[in-house]
Amino acid sequence: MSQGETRRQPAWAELAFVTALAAGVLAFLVEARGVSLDPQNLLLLQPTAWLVLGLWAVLAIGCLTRRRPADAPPRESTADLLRILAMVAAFGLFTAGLEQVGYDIAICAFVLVALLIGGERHWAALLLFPPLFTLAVIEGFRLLIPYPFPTTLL
Amino acid sequence: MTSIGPMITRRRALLAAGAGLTLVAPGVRAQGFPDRPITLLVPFATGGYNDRLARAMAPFVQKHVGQPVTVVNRPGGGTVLGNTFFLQQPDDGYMLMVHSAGPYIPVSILTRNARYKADDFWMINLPSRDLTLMACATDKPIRSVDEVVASLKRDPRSLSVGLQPASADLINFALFCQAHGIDRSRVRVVTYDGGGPARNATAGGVVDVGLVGGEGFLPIKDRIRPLLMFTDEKNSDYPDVPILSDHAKAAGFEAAFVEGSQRGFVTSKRFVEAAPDRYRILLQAIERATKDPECVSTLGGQQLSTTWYGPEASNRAYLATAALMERYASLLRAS
Amino acid sequence: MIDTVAFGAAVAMLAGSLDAWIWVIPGLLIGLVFGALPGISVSMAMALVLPATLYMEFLPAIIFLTSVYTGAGFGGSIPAVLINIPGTSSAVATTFDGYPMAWQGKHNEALGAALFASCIGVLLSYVILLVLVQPMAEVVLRIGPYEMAAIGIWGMVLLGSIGASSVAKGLFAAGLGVLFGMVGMNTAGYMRGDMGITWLLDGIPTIPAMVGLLAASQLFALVNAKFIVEAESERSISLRRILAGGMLVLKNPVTLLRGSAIGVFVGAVPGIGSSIANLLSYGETRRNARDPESFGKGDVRGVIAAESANSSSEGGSMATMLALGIPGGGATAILLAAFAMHNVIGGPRFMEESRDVVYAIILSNFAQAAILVVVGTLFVYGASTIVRLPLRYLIPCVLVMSAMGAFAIEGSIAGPITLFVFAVLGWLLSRYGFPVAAVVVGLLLGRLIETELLRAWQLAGGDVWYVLNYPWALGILGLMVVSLALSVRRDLRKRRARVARA
Repeated sequence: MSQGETRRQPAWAELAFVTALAAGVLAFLVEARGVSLDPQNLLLLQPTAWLVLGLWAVLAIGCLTRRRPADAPPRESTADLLRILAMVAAFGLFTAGLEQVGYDIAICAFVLVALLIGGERHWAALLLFPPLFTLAVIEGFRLLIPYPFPTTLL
Repeated sequence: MTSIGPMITRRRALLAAGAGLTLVAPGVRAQGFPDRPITLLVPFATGGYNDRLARAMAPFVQKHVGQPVTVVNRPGGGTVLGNTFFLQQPDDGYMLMVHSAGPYIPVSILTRNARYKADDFWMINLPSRDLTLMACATDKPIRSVDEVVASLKRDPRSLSVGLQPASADLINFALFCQAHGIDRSRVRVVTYDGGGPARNATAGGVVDVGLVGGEGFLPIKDRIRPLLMFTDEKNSDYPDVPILSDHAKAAGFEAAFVEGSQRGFVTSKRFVEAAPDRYRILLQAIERATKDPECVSTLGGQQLSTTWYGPEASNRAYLATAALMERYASLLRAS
Repeated sequence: MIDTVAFGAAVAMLAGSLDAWIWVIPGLLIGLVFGALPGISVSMAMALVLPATLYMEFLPAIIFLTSVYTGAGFGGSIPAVLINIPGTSSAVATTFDGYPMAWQGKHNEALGAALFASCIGVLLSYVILLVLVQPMAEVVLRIGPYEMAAIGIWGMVLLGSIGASSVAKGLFAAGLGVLFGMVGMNTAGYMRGDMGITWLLDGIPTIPAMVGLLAASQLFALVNAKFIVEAESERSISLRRILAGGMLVLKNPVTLLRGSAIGVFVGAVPGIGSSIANLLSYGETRRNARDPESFGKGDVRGVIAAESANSSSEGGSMATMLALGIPGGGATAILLAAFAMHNVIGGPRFMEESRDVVYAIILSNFAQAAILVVVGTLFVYGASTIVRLPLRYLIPCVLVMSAMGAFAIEGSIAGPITLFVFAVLGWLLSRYGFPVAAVVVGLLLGRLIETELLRAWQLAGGDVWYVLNYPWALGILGLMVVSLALSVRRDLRKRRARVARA
């Protein structure tokens, strides 16, 4: 092959990400134009949205024609990536669970799961740290902020 | 600092107990009411007029109701979040609101598609009434409201006007323009999201004329020239300022205006109907607290109002504002 | 411009009252703790201690509250340096170089530099306040939409493409940020992008979004690391190195003075002054540096610039409050409420009749800045232990604290939800090489620029040439163009020289 050390390898994941963002921007623009075409509504919004959409085209072309050295090391191992995704999922569940199961239970469960994902295996630490930390956070924030938050046990 | 801990713990006990109470059959008698702490819900962040009013009144209401009174803030969405939360609470009288009911409740219904109705709320007392004041910076060449009218009639673009969108001030300005035959769509209206910024812009001469609640202007009274007060009776804060009813008589039109802010104690109509005995107890306690000489002097020192209008007059004033707002709803919506 | 008789009375007032002093250290500590927790703002801290001041005398009460204010002003930079979390929106630029410094094991120096820059910034701002309180307040009041829009655009130009690997990616990220900033109801009352969610009408909650983008996203990427500071030998906590960091501030007087000047005048603008000042000062320092490429990689000058600007804005906002009785933001609104609680009404009349009290407040703030050096050093010393914590513990703890802080802003679940969404977005953006910092800058400045441009447009009634009535705004934009042209020319020369050498 004439391409030497580099070979053409479109960055599909990046392309999908940029395209999703651009689609969001387009939806925002369409919605805003639906609200009103008055300059008081679109003064900055419309030019910025067009700029971002224009840049999407530039970035998309960049993604499609991406070349990378054939011997480039992979970004990270699959196991590492899975651990990150597990943490993202755990944090998402935690956020969703705050009002559902109460702040105390959500915090305790999330800290436990996150410790496990992080590689803590010592049973005493796993047993003691999450409840103690939860207790400190709940009581501390009750002292500090003027808003109530639902808890189940504490 | 230390007082906050027990406050929130108590409040949580209240929530838990409140949840339990809904299981009790309706028609709960007032016997022993209230037997646990009462919460004042403020649908704004800390530091504003309502928050200060609630926190200043709390000890006096506590004295007359015989139970601790605590303040909780639930700001956001132009009070929609606080209002919705309040209506979701059980009708047991353990939570009241301190609120700029007029114009916030009607405005939130008309511009933010809130699902409640204006008469879902019941005014206990609205001691604080703020009126729209038309003013300009002292270094502007404008001397009187007649000069403003003349200038805008000659060329609507000749003056810039600062005000808040979706506010009583905007409605007052629109009515004013209509009465004088001024083409409002051509006036250079500059919008500010908040009374503070609008006042700063007026006092700094960034806009030629500003229409904002007059109360907030008091600390910088020396820097502005008040031109017109949108009211039909002389105001004690601004005794020498022309009022709309006189101005309208001289110009030959009928005075129409909306009160800028009506703030005070609010509950839900549902509660008043479901537990009239409890309502009467709360009403009495708030009336006594408001008239308590110690309360009058303490709040007076903080520039907070303690006038007692009572529920009848307060509801009348609030519903009148709501009706006027609805009539001019198209002015409030930007689109 | 200093009234010597009143000045003497003020000194006597402070010297003769023990009450005026005992509240300084507790106030600073409360401020530091609140400021260091993301989401708990200066104004919330002050609102919560406000009832306690009701039973104090007037002067001790105000001194206590301003101590909280001063402490919280610095507190925000501690998590900014240690875990990339700006405790407040005015510590955003502190993360740009502070966190990379911590990453390199220079957390002691970074925190020391931040502390000294803050203290000196507060001090300088109060010196300016002492001399110029009245004229300063006048200037601030006259700043209108044209001038503010010019300042916002200047910040955007300086920082819009910060940290980008390519121009397209930088602009894309900044544009996204600006669009995020425009979600909700704008100042003219148009509602868009709220997707039917009530709380989005107030806009995307800024602090949770920022913390999500800058910090939480970073924490996801760190799941596979062991410590923030890789090398064990660098994980030390050393008083000597904290002080050495402080000395670095004195070695960069120009950066410090520029930061303070920007802080005093831009920071004084009611509303979001201090966060803009923080960004502008950082951007200007980076642009003026001989080696701008070293910024964002742990350059101590970035920390000094950012911190001197955000803390000196305290003096600026005190000016409008004292001289005009206008609250510039939440914190000064609480101070005015405290004034009212003691039957004192802030404003021109107070300035004239109680000049001695005003001087006493200002002088006490000099003392607070000095005491903060000591209290802050000890506090920082304690807070640095964070770098010794293994990440497997630090990550869940910080994520939980961020979520609670996000909740604490308005007491609504909107905060944690925003935090999560923007954490995921931030992680993906940095994974694909987009500069997250540019999104944050866009988010912060986008809303400001839209609001001010809109008002400018309304003032002009659609007439483009109306801007000619605003020489100051034109001046700012002119300066911006000239200085940009100069730095572009310098870059070109440098590149040519490099090419010639090669």
